[in-house]
Amino acid sequence: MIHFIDNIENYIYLIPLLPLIGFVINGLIGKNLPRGIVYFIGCISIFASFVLSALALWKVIDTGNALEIAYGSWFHSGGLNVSIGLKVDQLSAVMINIVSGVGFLIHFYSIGYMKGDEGIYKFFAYLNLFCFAMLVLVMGDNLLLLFLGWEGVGLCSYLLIGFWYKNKDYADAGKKAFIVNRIGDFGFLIGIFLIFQYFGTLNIAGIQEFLVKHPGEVKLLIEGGVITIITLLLFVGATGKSAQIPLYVWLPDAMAGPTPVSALIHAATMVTAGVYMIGRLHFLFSLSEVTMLIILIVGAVTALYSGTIAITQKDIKKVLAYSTISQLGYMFMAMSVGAFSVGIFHLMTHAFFKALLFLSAGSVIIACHHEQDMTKMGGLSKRLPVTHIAMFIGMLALSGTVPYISGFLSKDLILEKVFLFEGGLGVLSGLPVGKIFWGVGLITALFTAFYSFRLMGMTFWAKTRMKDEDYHHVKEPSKAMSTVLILLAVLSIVGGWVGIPEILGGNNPFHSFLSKVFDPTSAHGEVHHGNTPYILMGVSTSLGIILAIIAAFMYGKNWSFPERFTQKGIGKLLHRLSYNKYYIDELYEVLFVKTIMKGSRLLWKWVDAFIIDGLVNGTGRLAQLIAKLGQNVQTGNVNTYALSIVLGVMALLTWFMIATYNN
Amino acid sequence: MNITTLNGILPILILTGVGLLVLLVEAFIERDRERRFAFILSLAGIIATLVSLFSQLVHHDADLLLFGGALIVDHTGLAFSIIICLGALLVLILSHRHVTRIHRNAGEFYSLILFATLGMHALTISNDMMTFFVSLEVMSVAVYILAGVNRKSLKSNESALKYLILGAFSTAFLLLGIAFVYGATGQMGFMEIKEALLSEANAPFQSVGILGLILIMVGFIFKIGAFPFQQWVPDVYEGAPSIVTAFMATCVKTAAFAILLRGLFTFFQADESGFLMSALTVITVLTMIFGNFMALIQSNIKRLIAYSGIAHTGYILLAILAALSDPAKPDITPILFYLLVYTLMTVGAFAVLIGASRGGEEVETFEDIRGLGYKHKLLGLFMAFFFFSLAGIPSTAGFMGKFFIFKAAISKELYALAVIGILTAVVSVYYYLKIVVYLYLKEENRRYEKYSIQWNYLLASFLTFLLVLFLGIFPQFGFKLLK
Repeated sequence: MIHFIDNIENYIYLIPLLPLIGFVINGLIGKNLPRGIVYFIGCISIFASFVLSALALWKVIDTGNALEIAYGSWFHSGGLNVSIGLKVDQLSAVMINIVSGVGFLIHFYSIGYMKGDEGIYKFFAYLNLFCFAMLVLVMGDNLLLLFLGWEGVGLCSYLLIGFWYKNKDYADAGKKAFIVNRIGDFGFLIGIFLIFQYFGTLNIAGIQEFLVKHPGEVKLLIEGGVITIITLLLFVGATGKSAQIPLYVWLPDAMAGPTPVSALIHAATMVTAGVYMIGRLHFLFSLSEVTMLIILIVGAVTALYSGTIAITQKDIKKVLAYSTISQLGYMFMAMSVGAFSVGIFHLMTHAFFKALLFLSAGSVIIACHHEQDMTKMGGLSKRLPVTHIAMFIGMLALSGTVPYISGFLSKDLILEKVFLFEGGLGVLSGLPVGKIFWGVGLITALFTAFYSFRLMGMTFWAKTRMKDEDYHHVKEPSKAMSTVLILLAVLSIVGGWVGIPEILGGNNPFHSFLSKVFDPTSAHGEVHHGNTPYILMGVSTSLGIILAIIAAFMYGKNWSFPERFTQKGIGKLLHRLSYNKYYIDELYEVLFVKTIMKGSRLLWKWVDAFIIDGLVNGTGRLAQLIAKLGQNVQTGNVNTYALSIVLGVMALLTWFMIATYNN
Repeated sequence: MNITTLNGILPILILTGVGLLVLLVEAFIERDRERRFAFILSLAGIIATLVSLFSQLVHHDADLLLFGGALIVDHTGLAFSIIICLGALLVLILSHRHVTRIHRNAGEFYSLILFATLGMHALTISNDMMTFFVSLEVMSVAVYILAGVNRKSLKSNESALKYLILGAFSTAFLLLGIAFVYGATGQMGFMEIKEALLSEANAPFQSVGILGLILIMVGFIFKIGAFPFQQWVPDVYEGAPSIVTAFMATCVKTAAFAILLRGLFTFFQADESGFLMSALTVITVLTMIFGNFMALIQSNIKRLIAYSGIAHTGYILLAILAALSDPAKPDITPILFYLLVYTLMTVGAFAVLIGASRGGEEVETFEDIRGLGYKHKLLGLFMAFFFFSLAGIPSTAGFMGKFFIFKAAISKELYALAVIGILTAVVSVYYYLKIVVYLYLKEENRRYEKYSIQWNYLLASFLTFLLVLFLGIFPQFGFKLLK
């Protein structure tokens, strides 16, 4: 055993492998196993993986070195030699612990949530498969492995969103998520190809090495804009997976899936893959100011934009979904100003409190018999005390209004880093870019505080709008579910304590731990900026608290004021815009789906009907000649087909003649 | 005739012999036993052919020219033939028992498959215009008949007739092209033609020769079903019995690609104007776009597969362009790998579709497969997997195939083509997923009666499933197989 722990680096392959084994067992024979065994296999596989992840983290902390394991060549083709290997460095160590730790808690919670579902074995199999893919994503030492994990989590997300296949809407939501993600992956894949083209390797360490070893070439690549193109393409992939503008549209729809799935995949882990990827390739992203600025803009706009949508949604899960999009925007803002460890820090705290919020929402939904409309809830604090407290803590963390709670620490660090950012190109040069985007971040934070407490008010504090008998049937979920809520609530409070910055009396061990990956050269320690951080913190916190209190008062009793406000005039207009998500879904539908379909039909008509039929009518003799060929065939299509062959040949020959005469 | 020659034409001898034998069996054995006997005999024939092809590939060290250069047994040709025979083998397994539903005499059907395969193999190793043309017709005539093998079905008859008329039409261009080339060079052998086209003395006739090559290319493009000569594909695929469609979509296409590739590699250097290359580029782009966007609006699954087959043709053309842009050291493994994978997943998809057809009714619309995943778990799983693979989702061989093609295109700096390819592949996800969604779409309050299917469908789909999964995870194995 001691030997095993000491040599944990030889066993890190077990971390992704165990959930895969769980998937295979439950997937193949789960149907015939008793439920208890299915639960056991589903949970123990990811729990064991978590234990190993913790050991790996401990070892990394202890030695300060990455754990690596290489399995030799996977395949080689035309100069591309892909080796297969896993690597747990400081960044991956944090990620695998989030994935397997939060993952385990959510598996455990699912036992209660999915009770009575006949497809439970399938559910656990998919969840395990998801964890496998996600762990491969964060542990892979080359981009292809990362991409495989990236696609794998997308596939599992698709399977789990459509898990119930109750109707076509659910299936369509899954399909939408999948296809929107493919658009992002298109960019990602081209980015990967270009990386291979210019750096000759897909190995992440190899790319970094190339940048160090060939400064001259790299300088040319930067000046030629190649690095900008590559990183922008990679970022397109990130906007798909991490639901940023313009590819965020799938995430709210993905809420059709079971709530534990929303918690694990669409809040805590998969959607953060884009942030992780930027962190993983930070050395490449840092080389392009343009890309970083675009990421900053996209992140900030997304954060604010989805915040304004979240304040009017009625569906409890939709509020959380838009909040997730908004928080991901924060993470991208942090990454874009070069504060990589801060971005990852927020990724971690967000994983805790957003998982908590979703699972709390899950127990509300279960208690209300799968009702998700908050306008039909209210007064649940008396019936669901544990859930109430858990969700309250989650909201405190999300809104970042109470100092030293996890969400406060990470969000505040992001705002500070953005404020201190000095950059700006093109039209933005000369402007106080950092301060402008800090302003955007601050307003977002105010929206966050508002919708957080609006949700609390509508669901728990206001007078109930449920029928009497329904209200009295509301009861706390099972012990297992409550336990998970309590554990996550504790994590949401203390989870951020590893990253208390110096100005708050800590020494931010999280930052110095990750600096080995992100900033190996600079000495540990932060630059002091006098009182600025305190002032920023004071401004954002006090404004946040005010907004929270306003929301609590507005929605805490019977929300008559907001209802009156939204019934006429400008209030109605704004409410409509926000509630209908600025009609972006409809716009996309018209712009892309309908246009492509129409275009295809048009193409078909044009090629088949117009050109060929038109020519048949026009060129009488030729058509008659060919019609004779096919006159015995009933459909009458053959002659037009034959004619189109002639036309094709004629086009080719005409082109050839022109080409020849020009020579 | 020495032993080397004999060994070189052994696959041809086996296929001819077994094909004739199977045809004769009908006359001598009573009907009930004939079916099984013919099946086993043809299966043995194809397996023997595969074995002989493999042994040739393994012991291959130098290209073997036979019959005064009429045939060339080289690595490329053998690899293509192996893919073809693999496809034919799977089609044979599928057609057991099924064949009597569409045609009275099993023996006829099997022998036609064998003769078509014979033509295909001869096509992949042909090295002069004469052999090439005869092999092409051996293949084509057999496939024309196969398309109309279900004599009771009007659609099948129509399909065969259309295929025949349009095929003959395109063949006319091909023959005209051969005549032009012969007129310009006075040669029939591929190598001799190339030398003649390149020689100074022949310069005045060069453009006539190129004109001939363009016309020949028209014939090829028709057979692979690329834009603008693709119209027949959906009609013929839809009308022909599914089993024949599977054969056409895979084996016929692979054979046509084999000869197209040989022709292009031999001749495109003789075309100094670069016209062939630019024409091929345009055709590739239009084929990828056209195939994918047309598939998007189909409501009939066989038509959808037909259009998506056109799209896959476009991707293979892209791989060919990438290989051609480095004539000194062309890398054709992406082409071979993709064709292998495409053959496997297409036959696999058809295996499931045929297996799912109830009471002789073929699966046609989306409604026909609604909830199939619940009626037969394994079949549904396989089908979903094949369509994921066709869409190019990772961990399937379809992804690896596309990956190598796009990588080759980008490393040869065909950026625009690669981007169009990847974008259209994104479009393809939409219609492939639509099928998967229908597979698992439940109707409210309806219980699905589970059903069992015949062993041969399960065997064929299971084999292809394993191979597609395996090649998706260990693509290196596929390279070794074809190298």
